[in-house]
Amino acid sequence: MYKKYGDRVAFYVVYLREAHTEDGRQSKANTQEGLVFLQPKDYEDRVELAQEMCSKLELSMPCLIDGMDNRVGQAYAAMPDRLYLIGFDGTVAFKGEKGPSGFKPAQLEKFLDLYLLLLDAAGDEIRPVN
Amino acid sequence: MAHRAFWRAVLCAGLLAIWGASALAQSGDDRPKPKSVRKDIRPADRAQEGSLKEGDAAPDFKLKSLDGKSEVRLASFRGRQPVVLIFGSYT
Repeated sequence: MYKKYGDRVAFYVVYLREAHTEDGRQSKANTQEGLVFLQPKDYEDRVELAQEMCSKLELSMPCLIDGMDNRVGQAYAAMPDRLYLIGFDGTVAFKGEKGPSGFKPAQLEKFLDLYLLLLDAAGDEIRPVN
Repeated sequence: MAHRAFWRAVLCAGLLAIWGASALAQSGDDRPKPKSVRKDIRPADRAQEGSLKEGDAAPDFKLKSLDGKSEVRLASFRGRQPVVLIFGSYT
């Protein structure tokens, strides 16, 4: 999706508070995969873990880090993971279901296909101008 | 200006129609059922659905990039470009 629309749509990974940690609610699956971490206690630790995640997952999209107050994650009810499309008018165009079971990139991609088609159809009457 | 408002209305109506048709077409698959009939969601998880819904103004934020060298403000994209936000963590 990023490769397909990266030139028309801004993509950001927003790294949130860890969902499953040794000092919190650990997940058996994560333990088996060796994903065993403590919840970062400060912003620097959080950045370090986010960097490890982006590196291991080979994420090519730009990554932003939520603050230690978790304000953004809470405002978007985004934990543990969730997808959004914010329309060019600044409103929520698509809100995915709560992950991990509701984390469905294919659903967002289908929506994005149609959204951009409609923008194209509207032409310059509605297309944003920088 | 009137043209812009007209096309904005057309866009909204189109999106609603497509989204409705898409939801209808997928009603037989594993798409989550409306919360009112789901019994597998605990009250604590319901709270995590939040009150933000499609059509609402997206809460603005300004967050630092991974390398700490820049900050991104969501509102700076308004009127310019749609934004996909992928929220998550490592675990």
